[in-house]
Amino acid sequence: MSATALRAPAALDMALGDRRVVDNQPVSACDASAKAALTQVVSNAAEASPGSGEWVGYEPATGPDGIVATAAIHCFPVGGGYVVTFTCATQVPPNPDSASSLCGKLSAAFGAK
Amino acid sequence: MTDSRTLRRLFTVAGILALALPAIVASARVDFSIGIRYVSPDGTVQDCSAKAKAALESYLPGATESSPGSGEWIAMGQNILTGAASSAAAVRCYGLPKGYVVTFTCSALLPANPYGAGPLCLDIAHKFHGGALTPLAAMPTATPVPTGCAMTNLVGTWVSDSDSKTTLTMDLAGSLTDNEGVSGNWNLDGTTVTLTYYGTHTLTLSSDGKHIHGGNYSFTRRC
Repeated sequence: MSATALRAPAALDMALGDRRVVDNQPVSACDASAKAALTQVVSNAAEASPGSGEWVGYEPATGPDGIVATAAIHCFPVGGGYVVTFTCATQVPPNPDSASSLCGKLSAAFGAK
Repeated sequence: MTDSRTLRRLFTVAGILALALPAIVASARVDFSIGIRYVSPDGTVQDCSAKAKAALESYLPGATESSPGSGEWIAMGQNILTGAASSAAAVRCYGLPKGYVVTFTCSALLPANPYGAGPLCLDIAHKFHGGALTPLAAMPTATPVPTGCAMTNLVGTWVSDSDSKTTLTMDLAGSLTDNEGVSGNWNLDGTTVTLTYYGTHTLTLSSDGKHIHGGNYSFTRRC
């Protein structure tokens, strides 16, 4: 029984997601997959600067808490391919996904493209 | 002209891109910074890891590597007042045929954290390669819990005058909890006390700050 509803303090969660090395594909393929994965999972994507291969997305605010989930995908050319990393941060609560879970969804979406 | 030895010691700054993304939305609570990336023409992932750990721990406690030898490091900072994590940074090293590439990504929960993700990432990156450091705003420290029977607050443990087993513990944030775990809130305006606890009740604080009376309630503070 509770006389008032008390809300747990929000905490920041941050996670190192996957790191993958992809051979024989240009970094432009990484860029395209990164943009598509972010758009699919968090609704939007932007490159830090044109051609940087550093992509960020965030879940649009749907309530008073503002942005509660963000993610970055870094693409870097290596040899004839590229290396890609996923890094995520969420505010829990209210975001239902942990940062690790969000990164997992992004990694899956990246690979599915 | 820069001599080759110096060149070898210096990192090639492949790109300091956007140091922090512009405010995406003014009401953003999770602040995120990406875009600082360095390419070193020499050195190993182990060199990068040692510097990553040291740079992270200059600002956040307890940097950990995601798996031994991975070169992927993360550290979290906590706001003492809320008791929850409010800042974090990741430094990821990846070995190249010659040298390595390292990226810096940071996040901060605003306004719980006193500084944003951008300044944090910039300082960690500069600590890593030796650039200028800008002091970050200090993390707030815990406010000492008031003691005694102050007239300015109701902080402390209150015992019911009609049943000594019934207690209310009131904290600095205006919350109260009874001996059975039922929660509520308190407010003090002059000597007028408002308790939100099984409804709203108005009581009066005595001149010595030790008693509250009103309605069916009567409590004495332990002090």
